Amino acid sequence: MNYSSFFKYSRYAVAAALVLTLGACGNDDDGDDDPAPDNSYTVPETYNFENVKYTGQTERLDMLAEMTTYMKTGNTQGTTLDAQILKDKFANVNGQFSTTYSKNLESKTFAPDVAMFQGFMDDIATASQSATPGSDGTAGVVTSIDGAKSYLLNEDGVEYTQLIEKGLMGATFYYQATAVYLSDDRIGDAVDNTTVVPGEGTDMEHHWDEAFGYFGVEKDFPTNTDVRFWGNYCNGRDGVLGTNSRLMDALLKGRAAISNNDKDAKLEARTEVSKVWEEVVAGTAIHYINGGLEDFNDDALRCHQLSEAWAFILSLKYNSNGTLSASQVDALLAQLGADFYDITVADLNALKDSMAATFGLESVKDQL
Amino acid sequence: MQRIVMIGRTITRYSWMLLLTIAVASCVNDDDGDDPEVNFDQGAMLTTIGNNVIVPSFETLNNEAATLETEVSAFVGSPTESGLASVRAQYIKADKAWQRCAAFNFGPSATFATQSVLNTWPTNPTKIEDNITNGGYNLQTSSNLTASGFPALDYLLYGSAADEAAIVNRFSQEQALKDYLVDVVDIIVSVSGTTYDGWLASSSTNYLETFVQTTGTDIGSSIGLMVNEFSKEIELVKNARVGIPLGKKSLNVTRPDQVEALYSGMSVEFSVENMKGLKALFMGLGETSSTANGLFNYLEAINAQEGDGLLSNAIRDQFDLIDTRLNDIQGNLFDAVDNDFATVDAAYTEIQRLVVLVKTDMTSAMGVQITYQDNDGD
Repeated sequence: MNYSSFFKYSRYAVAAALVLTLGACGNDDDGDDDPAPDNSYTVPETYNFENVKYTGQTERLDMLAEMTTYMKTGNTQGTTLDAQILKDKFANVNGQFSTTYSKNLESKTFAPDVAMFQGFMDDIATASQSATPGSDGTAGVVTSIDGAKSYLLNEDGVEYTQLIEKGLMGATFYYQATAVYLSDDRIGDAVDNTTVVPGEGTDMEHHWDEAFGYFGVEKDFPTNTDVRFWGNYCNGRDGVLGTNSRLMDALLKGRAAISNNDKDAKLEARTEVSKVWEEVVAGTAIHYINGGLEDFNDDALRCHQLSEAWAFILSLKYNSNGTLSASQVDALLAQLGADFYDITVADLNALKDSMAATFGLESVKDQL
Repeated sequence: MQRIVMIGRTITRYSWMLLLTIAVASCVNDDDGDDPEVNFDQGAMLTTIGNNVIVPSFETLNNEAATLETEVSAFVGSPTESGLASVRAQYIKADKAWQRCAAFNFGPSATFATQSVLNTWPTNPTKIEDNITNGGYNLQTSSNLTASGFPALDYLLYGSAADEAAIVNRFSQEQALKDYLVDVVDIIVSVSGTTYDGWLASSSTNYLETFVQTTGTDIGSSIGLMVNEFSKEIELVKNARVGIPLGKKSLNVTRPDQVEALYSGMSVEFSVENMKGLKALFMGLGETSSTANGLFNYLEAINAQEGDGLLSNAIRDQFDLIDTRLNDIQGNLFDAVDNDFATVDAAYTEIQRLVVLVKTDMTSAMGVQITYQDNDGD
């Protein structure tokens, strides 16, 4: 049974539970040997469960951080980037990192899009070869009007650093968390939830923990707002969308449910994680469209923020239980276009309105 | 005690200091228990600012833009020097009306990027002339912001030929130039209209209602938005309008060609008008209204101090001082930055002081967070 079809049956869960309950009244020794869920457990306030391990996810976050640091050196005019170094970092070959990592990003990236990201790595290297500052029609570094920010853009104002970093947050982290680790294959009822591996818990527990690991927060989030990647954007939207506690609570609820064999709560938590995380993605895309409007006449800031928006919109396609199909996401990307020097206020508002309607964010679209 | 709780909650960063100060103060003077900040009606202030300052300012802009369209239409129908003089005069009125609205860069102005569309400078004469020559332009795209809006009008009406006679001559002979002037004014009329409409109760947006109802000082509140844009606009006067031409961002090498309204030489007048719009917002006093209720009153009510006096008075007086200093500048700013550096620098210094009073002191007194420099950390 796949993930989405599972939910089709969830409405029958209550009825089934009732039948089971009634049945139990008439026959209390029916030999059902499923371990009974312990409904007396409490969901803890932090992720300090027993046997939690997500070091692989932490490594991948570290690797993407190092890739980003390298790409941002291109924001200084005259610094050229090497596409092969980026691709090596992506695959973690040829020792291109500051330390030794045992994992790699490429093999965990949504496979059909790996070539697209490698293409972006070629493109950023090409843009970095520019001998002049960038402008409409010319690749190079572009500085904001106030002089505070500089970004390496291609001739159409595309900042590949954002497409790669935020794009991989989608195609690797978000994809792995929502479409892989929260799938039936990894946390469905057929997955082992009895054999405890010391330090890692059961298979099912471990898979949930690996999804948590891609969130980029500390175990005591949101009390602790030492955040990165998705944790940073969740925290950024929290003021308007209240995403911090909703997403964290769902992750805590699911892990506690698994450890206590509470299947219904596990599935509720999975739905909630998927939904709130998507709200962070969509809300952040709208946030950057607003940013593009706010800084509409500042080439550096507009192009930077629209590049961010592009990557967050792209990310919407990597959740297997997401609101939009891949082709619908592609349509939104087409609406944004690929020339951020040549864009109109009306186009941006149309895209923003359409996204706000799709994700139920109309009442807050201007505050994001 | 109610007062202490209020202040402690709004100004968390300074709460300990404040609590200590209040604790000490209350030892000396313990009969000031009913301070007005508890009773200050933010909604009433927002209603006054919205109804008496913001909406009438956008209404004026809308009307002046419509008149500009009429004047331009008459001029391109029959280009004469007197017609040019009329269009120029109306351009100045419309631009000044815009300057009075520049501080209200939130709500509909944020949705329609009104400031970017109306007033991106320096304008690009080469791009304008290329557009005129080649046709097929779309003045709504970001790449044409430097070839559209009021600054493009400034070029077309003052800089497109050597003198009035030559400009009229060009307009007499070049249909593409006429078309371009009409197209630029169309954009100005259009965005002025949509922005004004967005504030009206009759529109689907009815931002006035949202503005008045969204009280508090948190991120996203009307006071939060308004104070951020207020501060940002003062910084824009300090940097883009005065500082950059004065060489403040270029090792004191002056850059007179960066002034606003380069061709008409109206830079100082426009800055004066801009500051008047900012002061009107601060005082909550519209041009035709007799009652005032603005950020001034709010600061006064929470008894925010600056030196030996009230912060509200200090900011009001600073606006007046800046007005004097700007009016001290003789002739146009293009010449003054080189010929009378000291006078322009004196104005710059006072604007810089206002930035500190507003961006640092006023925001902390009100518990408003400056968010316009945020970029999610990158």
